[in-house]
Amino acid sequence: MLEIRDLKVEVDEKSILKGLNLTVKEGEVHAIMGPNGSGKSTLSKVIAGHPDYTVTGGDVLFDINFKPKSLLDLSPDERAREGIFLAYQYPVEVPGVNNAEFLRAAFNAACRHQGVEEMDPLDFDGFLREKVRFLGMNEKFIDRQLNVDFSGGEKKRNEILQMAVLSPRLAILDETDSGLDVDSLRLVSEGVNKLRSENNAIVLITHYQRILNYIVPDHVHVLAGGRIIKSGDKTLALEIEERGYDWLLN
Amino acid sequence: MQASKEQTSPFAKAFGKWQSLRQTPAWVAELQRKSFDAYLAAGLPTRKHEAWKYVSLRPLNEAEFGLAPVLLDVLGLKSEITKFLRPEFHNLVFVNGHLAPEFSDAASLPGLNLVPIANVLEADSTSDVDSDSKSELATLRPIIERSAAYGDVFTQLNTAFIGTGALITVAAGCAPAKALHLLHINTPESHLSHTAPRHLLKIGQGAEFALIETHVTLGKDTKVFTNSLLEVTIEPNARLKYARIDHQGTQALHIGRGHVKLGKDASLESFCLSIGGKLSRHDLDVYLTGEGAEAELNGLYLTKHGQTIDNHTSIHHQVPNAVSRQLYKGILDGDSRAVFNGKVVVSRDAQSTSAQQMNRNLLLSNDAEIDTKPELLIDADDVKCAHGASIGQLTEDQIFYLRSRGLDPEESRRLLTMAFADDVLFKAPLVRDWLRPLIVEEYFG
Ligand SMILES: Nc1ncnc2c1ncn2[C@@H]1O[C@H](COP(=O)(O)OP(=O)(O)O)[C@@H](O)[C@H]1O
Ligand SMILES: [Mg+2]
Repeated sequence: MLEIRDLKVEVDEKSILKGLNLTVKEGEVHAIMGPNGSGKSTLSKVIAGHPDYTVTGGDVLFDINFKPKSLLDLSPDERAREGIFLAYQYPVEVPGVNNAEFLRAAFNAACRHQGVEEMDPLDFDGFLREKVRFLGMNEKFIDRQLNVDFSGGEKKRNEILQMAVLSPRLAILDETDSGLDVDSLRLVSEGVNKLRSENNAIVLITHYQRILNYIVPDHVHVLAGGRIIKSGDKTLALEIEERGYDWLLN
Repeated sequence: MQASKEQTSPFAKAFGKWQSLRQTPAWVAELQRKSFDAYLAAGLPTRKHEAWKYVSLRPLNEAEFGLAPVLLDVLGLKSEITKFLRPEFHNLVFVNGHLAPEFSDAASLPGLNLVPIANVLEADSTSDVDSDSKSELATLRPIIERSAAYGDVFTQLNTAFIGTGALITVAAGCAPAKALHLLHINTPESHLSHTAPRHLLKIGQGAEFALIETHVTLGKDTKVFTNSLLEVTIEPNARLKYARIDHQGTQALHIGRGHVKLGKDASLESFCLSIGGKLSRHDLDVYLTGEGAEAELNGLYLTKHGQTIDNHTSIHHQVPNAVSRQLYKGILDGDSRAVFNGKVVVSRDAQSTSAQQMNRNLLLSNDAEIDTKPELLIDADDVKCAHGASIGQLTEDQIFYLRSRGLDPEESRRLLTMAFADDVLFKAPLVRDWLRPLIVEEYFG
């Protein structure tokens, strides 16, 4: 469903991704690991369509109505409505915007796009509370301002709540595990696992092997120097945990 | 000299006609004449006047403003007017400056006395004056004489055209259950005309009242000039909640003033929304004349292409231990302009004054211009005064965050902009549920 071909990306005229290839199929979970600053967040933001990043070569293809289409032709909101979701490494605080109101607006934007009826506030409230409980979150979350004064862990969990509400076809989780304690990590992972299906795919960006015990990947990739330098199965993650990245870089 | 000024004044013809039409007692006619002459002698202020530094009144001189016509078929406007009538309030409706009893459900109630100014003035000129009207006149006369002497050109001009508005008195200790809504509507028939609504409100000791003052125009191109004035006295221990809504069309010119005096332990909570007009200026003058008085002034202004909205507040701490708090927020889009000038005057004896003032602005366009100016004149030494101003834009990160969840750019901007507006809107529970959707439709529709 996602095919990244020889992707080259610059930020501030600095080359970050230098010919990256990645193919993700329906039903798969891919883990991307790599040293700090190797371009993992850059990759996720380019897929989401962040304007700071300039694509200077290659393409990102995503199946829309069973046909591969270049995401680069779509605006960030069009991509989201087509089912792309990025759980941010650093979720943005949005003072004054109510979490529930925002989630309903996002949900209804997707409904409109799919030509199904929007949900009214009351029905949505019930739907949302169910998701909150499902993720083992405090219901107080939903009446708060979006990410404002949330702890690091709360922000991450709020991202997963958004994912649960929007049920995307492709979810990219950028270091969702960092900042989570063991219990939260387990709850978040369970939540993500329940959202896994034959029709969607997950790309997990992480530093640590730990989360991969809960969300077991089909493929593990190492991103360094702007390229995928090694791919393997879940044992690659264990090896990295043990040996670090140096053996791969030389 | 006077004669030539009279010829070029945009109101001269209307004034002659107004005087000949009304049946007013001699002292009123004389006061009108004197006020009109004072206005002619001074002329409209120019940008050389400190209080008009940022805003040009040239549009007022570009047309002649006649008298607003009386509509014969007011009921024909039913569907358009009922939109603005609120069931939660008692409504007193003025169409083109003329009281429209057809749409008004406000009347005197126990504890609330409501009399059109025209009736009060006319009562004096007829011989069979009843004692009620006499006492109303006794209330009215000193107030209008005092403000005529007050020197503000627009007040003088308002006095020259006195006759539209109401004298509202809330008896001591009373708390009428519903708020009073003064709704001013200008129809397309009033194009190129001038109205001068003036309301006088007195809230007796320990009484509580809520007043909403709304100005709207019908018809996109209706160009009218409104010169409104509200004079309020809040007696000791009394409370007023006040909301003012300027929602006139994009051709309208509006100069408004509120003059509020608070006695000991009295309180004022005001909220002013400006979302209309080609030029909309509002001055809110608050006099804290009794210890323990508290004034909270909140405001929200939203401009679009071609609009200028100017809010001037001035708070006079004349006694010790009074409190004032202000929060005005502005949202500016397109090639538009807004001004906020917050003056706080603390007299020498006004020790232990607490005065806070904050003005925040959100610029949605690079062509918009905001001038914000605190003006603190403090003569006492034991005071807590704080003021601040900010000018910001929507952040790209926030917009991207919302868009990456599927909200289109307009909806993202709307959500973020309304989030900015909400905290001040939430300080006005009296009108919030009405105004929030109105703002969304008007500003983002
Ligand atoms: N918005 C940006 N502006 C400037 N430089 C950036 C920006 N985003 C990322 N970079 C740079 O790109 C490189 C890769 O960053 P990033 O993608 O965040 O790495 P990772 O997520 O793998 O730690 C770093 O050198 C970082 O400084
Ligand atoms: Mg990163």
